[in-house]
Amino acid sequence: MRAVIIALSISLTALAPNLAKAQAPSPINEAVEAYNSNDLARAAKLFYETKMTDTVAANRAKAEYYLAHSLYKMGLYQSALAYYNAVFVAGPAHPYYLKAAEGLINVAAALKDDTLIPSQINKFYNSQAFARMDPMALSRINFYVGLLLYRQEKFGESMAFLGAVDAKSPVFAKSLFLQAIIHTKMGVRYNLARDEARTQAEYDKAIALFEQIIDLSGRTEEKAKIAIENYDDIQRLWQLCTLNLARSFYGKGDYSRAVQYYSRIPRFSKDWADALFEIGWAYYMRQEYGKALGALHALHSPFFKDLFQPESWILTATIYFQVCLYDESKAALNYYTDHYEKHLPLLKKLIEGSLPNEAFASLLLKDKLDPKDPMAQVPVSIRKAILENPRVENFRHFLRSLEAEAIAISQEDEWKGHRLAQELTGVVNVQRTLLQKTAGGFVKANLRQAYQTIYGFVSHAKMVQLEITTKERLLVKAGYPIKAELRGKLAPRPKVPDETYNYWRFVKEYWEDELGYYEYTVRRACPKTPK
Amino acid sequence: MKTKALSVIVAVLLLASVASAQSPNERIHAIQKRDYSIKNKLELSIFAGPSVGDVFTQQIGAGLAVDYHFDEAFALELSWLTCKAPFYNGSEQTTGQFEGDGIRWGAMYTDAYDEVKNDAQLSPSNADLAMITNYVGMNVQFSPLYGKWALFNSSLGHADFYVTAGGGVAGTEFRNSRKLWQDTGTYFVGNFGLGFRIFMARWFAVRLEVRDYAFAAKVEEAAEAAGSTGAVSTKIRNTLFVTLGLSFLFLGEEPVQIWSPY
Repeated sequence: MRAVIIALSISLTALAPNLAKAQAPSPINEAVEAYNSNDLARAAKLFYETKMTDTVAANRAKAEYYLAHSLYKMGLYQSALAYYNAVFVAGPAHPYYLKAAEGLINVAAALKDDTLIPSQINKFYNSQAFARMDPMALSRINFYVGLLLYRQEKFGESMAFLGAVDAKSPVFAKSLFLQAIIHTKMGVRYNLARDEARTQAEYDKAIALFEQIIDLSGRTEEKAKIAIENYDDIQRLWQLCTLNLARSFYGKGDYSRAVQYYSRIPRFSKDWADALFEIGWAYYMRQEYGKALGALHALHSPFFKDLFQPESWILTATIYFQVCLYDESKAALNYYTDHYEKHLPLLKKLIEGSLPNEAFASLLLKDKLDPKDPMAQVPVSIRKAILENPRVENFRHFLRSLEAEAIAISQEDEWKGHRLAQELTGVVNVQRTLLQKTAGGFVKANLRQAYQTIYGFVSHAKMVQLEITTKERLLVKAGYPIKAELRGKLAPRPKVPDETYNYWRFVKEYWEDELGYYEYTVRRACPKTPK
Repeated sequence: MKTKALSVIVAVLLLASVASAQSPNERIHAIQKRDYSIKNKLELSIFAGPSVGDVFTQQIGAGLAVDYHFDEAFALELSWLTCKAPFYNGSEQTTGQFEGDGIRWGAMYTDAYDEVKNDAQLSPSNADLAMITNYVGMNVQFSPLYGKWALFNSSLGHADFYVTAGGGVAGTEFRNSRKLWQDTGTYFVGNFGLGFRIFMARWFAVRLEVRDYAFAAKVEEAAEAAGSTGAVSTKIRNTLFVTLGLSFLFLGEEPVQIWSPY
């Protein structure tokens, strides 16, 4: 991006004498001088005046673009966005169309906006004109558009854009990752449609792409360091690839390899809670119930206090049910009722009430909520789950930059009383309102999602409860004692692999270093033969 | 592995205890890789500390030890303990009697000795006063316990407890009534000790140890000594050293290097 700005500065310097000769009284000459001497506020004001008053269309076009660019260089990204956008929507006929497109993508990166600007670029995407663009800038545009289309679940179109990203682009790894995710999503779809061959094929493609991203590291420290410099967020992607390799193998039904990859997720890292929960499922599928309960035991420890994990309690209840420990299963179901199901009325009231979208925004835009704010009623675990969404940080960043921009505009002496200041203030205010609506909509959608998740598992819980009742009735009928303690012996403790391992018995104390290493042994309470 | 399963928690709670009662139908176990495995490691230690508990003498010992850990439980140790500069006895005043407190690390007689030295009945025999000068020997170390503790619920510490026994040879001497150092011979010395190895890093530990060195001293007082009777005294001498050491651990199993987050 710096290279682009420097290049533009040089070209503008070269243009300056010609401009001066052609239109001596026009403010554009003065604007160019101010721009070249890095007096950007003054340059912006003069470009603005040129744009509004100059009779020469070429000057107006130039001024429009450089007004945007001056604002961008001042760090007033939202204001720059408004003028870049004006140039961009004018289409390829505008002499600065491509540069404005690049400007937009730079603003998107600066504002961490992966929604509004990509949507705008997608709307006016012109493949013929874009072919002349710098390949790196075009790659970034293709990635953003691909991301947007992915979110709209237009997977085919998204793949076309993502596949066009240059291998040398910093977003290349991200585009590969998104393609892999699309393949896993397709795998899920085919699986639901019971198309085994296609399911396997999609997961295989995803696995190949995840491996390709990890291969960018060269699997050596030196090469990995180079990759970290060359590609955006690749360290994070490597971990996500590991997690998603586990998920892909799980999707393929290869639970053994899924366990292998889930185990590679570093303890206490961002994805660890997900890995613990999902490895619980993988162990369950392998009928390694002790290990499954062990993984869930870590997940239910105080370390993960307030983590939104309703399904983990249903899984716990299901495992206990499988090993005929019905009291333990019922206890897990009761926990679910007491800690999740009870939130349903409140969530329903919030999402079906008459609150406008903006009223939801405070949940993620404010650090401290007023007790009277309806969002203060949202349970801590659900609020935390929403706040942990990576998009929340983008919203917050966007809001912070808008607030900083509003202050910078009001404090700029050069613009005091000038129409430019009024116009820019208006742009920022409109954007802030829009952001609050968007953020509010995001929160509302997440609350709805939480409601549906909890509600969905209520029926699962009832099913397990029903099965327990049936099984208990059968036990009594067959003359077995109802108490599990009387039905079988405890399994022996698990083997310690070798002397470099330590064995600690869990005695109601959670030691941080033991988290993730738990394993249960349970009573063999299922009757072997019917009496 | 089988011999070393005694695990202890020297501890307070690190995290909140579980409120709910544990079901009688299940047991929960934690099986984790040792953070501080010593198997196949070579341990180089330097240590120093005073002798304690002897009524008449006190010394300061320092030394080096090299341990090879065959596994997590057993190690063979080669050690050198010095209470005096080796191979030099100081300036010789008369035959076999030397001056030179400067080359002996704090070797001295206690106040009790001064109080009773003129009492014929209570005064110690020369054998009671024999002190180790330099010891070289070999020990077998057995570490049955590996423990951890929580420091103010903020960090974890790990240590192992060991017992050690072995033998070697040591030079000895005592300070006669003319305040000159007199060689009392070289002996086989047996020793037995207990210690803690507190791990600070995978390559570094602090050792706190108590070790008793025992030998059968047989001392004939030099004829030149004032008031010498030329009598021979014998005594089983025990010198208990309390030492603090720094250990540097090499070789062994290296932890997996995670150079990227997966």
